[in-house]
Amino acid sequence: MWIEKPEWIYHGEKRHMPILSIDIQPLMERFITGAMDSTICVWNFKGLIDTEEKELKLATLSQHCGPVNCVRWNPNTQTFASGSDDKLIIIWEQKEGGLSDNLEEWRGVFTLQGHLSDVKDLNWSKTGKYLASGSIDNKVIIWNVEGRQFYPYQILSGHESYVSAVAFDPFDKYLVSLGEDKKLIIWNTKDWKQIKIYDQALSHNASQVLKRLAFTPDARNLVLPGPKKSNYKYMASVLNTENFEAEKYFIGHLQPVSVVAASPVLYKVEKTDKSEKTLQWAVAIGGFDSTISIWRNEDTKPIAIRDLFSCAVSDLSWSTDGKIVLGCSNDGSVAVIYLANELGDVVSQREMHSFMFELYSEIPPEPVIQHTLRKPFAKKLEPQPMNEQKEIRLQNGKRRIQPVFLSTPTSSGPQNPNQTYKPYIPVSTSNITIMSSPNAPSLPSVDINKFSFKVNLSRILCNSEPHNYSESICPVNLLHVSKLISTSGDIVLEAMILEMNHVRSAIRLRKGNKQLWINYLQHTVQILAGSQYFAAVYTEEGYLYCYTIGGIQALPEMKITSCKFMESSGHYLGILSKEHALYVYNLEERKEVIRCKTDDIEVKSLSINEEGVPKIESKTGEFFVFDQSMSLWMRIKNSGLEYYKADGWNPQPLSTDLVTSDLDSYMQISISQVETQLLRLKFLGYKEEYSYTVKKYVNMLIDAHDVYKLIDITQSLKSTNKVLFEEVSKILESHDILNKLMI
Amino acid sequence: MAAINVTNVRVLNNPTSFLESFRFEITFECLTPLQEDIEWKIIYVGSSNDAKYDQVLDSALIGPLQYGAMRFIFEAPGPDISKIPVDEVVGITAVILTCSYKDQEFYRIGYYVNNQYTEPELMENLPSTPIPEKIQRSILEDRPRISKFPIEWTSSKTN
Repeated sequence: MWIEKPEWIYHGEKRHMPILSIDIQPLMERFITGAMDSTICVWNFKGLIDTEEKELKLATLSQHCGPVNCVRWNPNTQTFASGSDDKLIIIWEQKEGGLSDNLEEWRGVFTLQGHLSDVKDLNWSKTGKYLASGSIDNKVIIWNVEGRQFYPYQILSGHESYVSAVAFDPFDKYLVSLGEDKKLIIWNTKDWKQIKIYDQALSHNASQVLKRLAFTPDARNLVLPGPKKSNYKYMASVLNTENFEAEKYFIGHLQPVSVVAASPVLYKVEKTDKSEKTLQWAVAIGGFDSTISIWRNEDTKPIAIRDLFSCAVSDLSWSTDGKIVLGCSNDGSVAVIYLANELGDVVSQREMHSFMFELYSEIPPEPVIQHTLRKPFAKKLEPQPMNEQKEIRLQNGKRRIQPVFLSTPTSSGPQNPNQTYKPYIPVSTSNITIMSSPNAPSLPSVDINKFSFKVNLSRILCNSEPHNYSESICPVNLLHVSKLISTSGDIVLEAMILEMNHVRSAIRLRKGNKQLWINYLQHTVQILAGSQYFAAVYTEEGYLYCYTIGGIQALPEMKITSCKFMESSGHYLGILSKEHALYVYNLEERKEVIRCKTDDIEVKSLSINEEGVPKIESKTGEFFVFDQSMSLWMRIKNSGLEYYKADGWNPQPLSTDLVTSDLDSYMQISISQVETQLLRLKFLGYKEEYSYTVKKYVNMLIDAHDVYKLIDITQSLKSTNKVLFEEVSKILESHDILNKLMI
Repeated sequence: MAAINVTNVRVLNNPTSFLESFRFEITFECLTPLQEDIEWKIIYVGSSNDAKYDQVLDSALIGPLQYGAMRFIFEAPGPDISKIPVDEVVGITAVILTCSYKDQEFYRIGYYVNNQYTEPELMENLPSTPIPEKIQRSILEDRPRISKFPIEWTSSKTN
C-alpha cells in the first residue's frame, strides 16, 4: 500500500481552495472534484497511475454560482451531476471540441431546479434512472434524469432539518436519507413512501452538515457516521439492512466521522484460524480529525492513515476495482491511497453475482454502460478567421451588432423539455431498419420490418461490434443474455450463467422489476427466443428447451445439432442451423412448418413473422422472404439503392448513374421502380400501402402518357380489387382519360 | 444555468494612447434560444472612490442570437477626460464590461487599467492638467475579474 498526495490536483490559483467532493468515474478514465470556488475539475485518472502521463487536468467547469458540494458520476459513466449552494444541480455531458482552453469539452446539459436552498448530497440509482438529492431546505428530491425531465419527479418531505446525505441501496429498492434532525429515514422506491424512521443518536453537538453514508455492495449493511462513544472517541455505526438496527460500531476517530464510502467490490479474506475464505466488504471512513480509516466487515482494527490533511476529510471515492481510494479535504488537497492486497483478493464480478444470487435470489440491477463513442481527448476547434460583423443603429439610438456566427452547435440541442431521449443501446440494426423517421407524416411508408420488433440483445452482449456475427455464437461470459418479449418492452426473458454444482444456468421471465418465474437448467444457455406464448432456450450442449409463457416446460428437450440463429413470433419458432438449413416449427400444433436451405445467401439475421414466414437479411444487405408454395426465397429489398427516401414517397433513383438528362428515361426508370415496389407490397400483403402506391402509380402513368400500362393496371384491378378500381377510375375521370381508354 | 456562456474576451489594442477607443473581441456561446438581444456595456471607472464618475463609454445590443458560438468586436470611444477627477487620471483604475439580458446583469468582467505618461519626466512631475495625448493606457489583460450572476432567462415556467 502506498499513499500519495499529487500536487497537480488543486482548484484555484493558490491551492488552498477547499475541495468538497470527489468521485471516480466507473470506467476509471477520469475523476472529478468540486470545490468551494464554484468550479468543477475533470481529471485524467491515468495520471494517478502513470507518472509519464502529461494530460492531467482535462477541464475546468465554472457554471455554478456557488460552492460545489457534491459531484457524482452516473453509473452509465457518460454523465455526471453536480450539486451546489446555488440550489441547482447540473447534469454534464462530454461534447466535441469547443473553443475553450479545456482539453475536453464538458457541457452542462440540464439544470435541475427545485431545491430552495443549498444542495448537499447526490446519489444516482444503480441503473442511472433516478437521481436523488438532499438539501438544506429539508427535502429530498428525486429526479427522473433518464426521462429528461427538468423538474422534480418526487419531493420527499419528512426531515425537520437539513438533509445531509442520500443513498440508494444496491437493489434500488430503498432510498435512505440522513438528516440533521438526527433521523435516518428509509423510503420505498416504488411509491416513495417512508418505511421507517431510525431515530438513534447522531448526537453530535456541533452541527456538522458534512456527513455521508454508504451501503455495502452486498446490501447487508449500511454504514453511517455514528454517535460519540466517549469524550474522545467517535464512531461509525454499521446497521443491518433487515431491521436497520446497529450491528456493530467502528470506533477510533478522534473527531466526528464525516464521510463513509463503501468499496464497490467484495474481498476474499482468509481467516488466520480457519482455512476458509470469506467474502467481506470494505468501507473507507473519513473524519474531521483528517484521518482516513479502512475497515472490512469483520475487522476489529482498521488500516488507519492519520493526519493526512490539515483539515477535515470532505469526501472519499473508491475505484471500481477496489484498489484505489481518493480522499479530498477542506485544505484543498487530494490524497490517493493505493491498496495492493491489504484487504484481500478482489472478488470477480461473476463470483460476486453468484454470491448475491445465493443470498437474495436475484442480482442487483446494473446500468447499460455506454462506451464512449468519441476519443477521450477531443481536439479543440480552431478559432475561425473573423468575418464581417454587421452593425446598425436602432431607432432609440442604440447600436445593434450582429455577431459573426462561428460554429455549428457543439453542445446538445436546445433544452427542450418535450424532447424524448432514447439512451443509446448498441443494437444490431438488422431487425430494425427504420425506413421512416419518427416525424414522418401519415404517408404510409413501407416497413418491411413489420416482421419483427424484437431487439436482439443477446447478439450485442456476445459480440462487441453490433454487426460482427461470429461463426459460433460465443458462450456468454457476461451475466445476462436477454430478450424482450413484449413490444412494450417491459417483459424480458433473461438467462444467467451460474457457477453452481448441478445447475449451470437459469432463465427467468421478468416484468419490469418483478420476477415472474425462474427455471434452472443443467445445461448452459446459449440462445434465447420468446414470444407472447412461449419461451425457447438453446443450450451449448445441443438441446432446445421450450417453456410456456407461464414457465412450465412445454415439451421434452429436443436435440438439435446446431443452431446459429433462433427467432420466434406468435406460435412459431424458427431455427437456422450452422449447416444453412432453416426450420420453422409451429409449437402450438407441434408441427414442422418449413424446412429449407439458405445455401448461398450469407445470412446476417433471421426473423419470423406472426404467420410463421421467415425473413432473412443477407450480409450484402438484401432481404429475402421464403415463399412456401414455390419453395423459394423471394427478394423483397435490394441492397444499395434506396428507392424511396425515408421520409416519404418520392420515387427517385438515388444512384447518380441512373439520373439522365433525358426526362423520358428518367420517368421510365421511376415508373419501373414503382412497379417493383407495387409487386412487393402485394406479395407482402400491405393493403393500405398498396392502394396508396397504386394511385401514385396511376398518376405517374398519366403524367407519362403511358396508355398501355394504364389499361393494364385498370384491367387487373377491375378483376381483383373492386374498391381500388373505383378509386382509380375517379382519378382517370378527373384527367379526362377514361374515354381514351374505353373501359 | 446561464443561457449565454462567455468563453473568451480579448483586448485588441493594448497598450494604446489614452485617447484611443477601446476594442474588445468577445466570444460567447448561446445555449438556449433567446427571444431578446443581450446588451453589452463598457464602463470606465473614473474614480475608484465614487461611482458617480463611472462613464458608460458605449452600449450595444447583440443579436439575433443564434444557437451556437458567436464572436464580435465591441468598439467604444475612449473616456472623456474632463469627467475624470484630475488626480485620478493617471494611475490605476478599471474598465468593466457587463452583459445583461432583459435588464438583468448576468456577466461582468473587469480589468485593471494603468494610465502612465510615456515620458518619465512627466511621471515625476505630474502636470496639473493632464495631457491625454501623452498618456499611455495599458489594460491588465491577464488578470480579469469575472463575476457571474444567476438571472431569470425565461419568463415561463419551463426551462
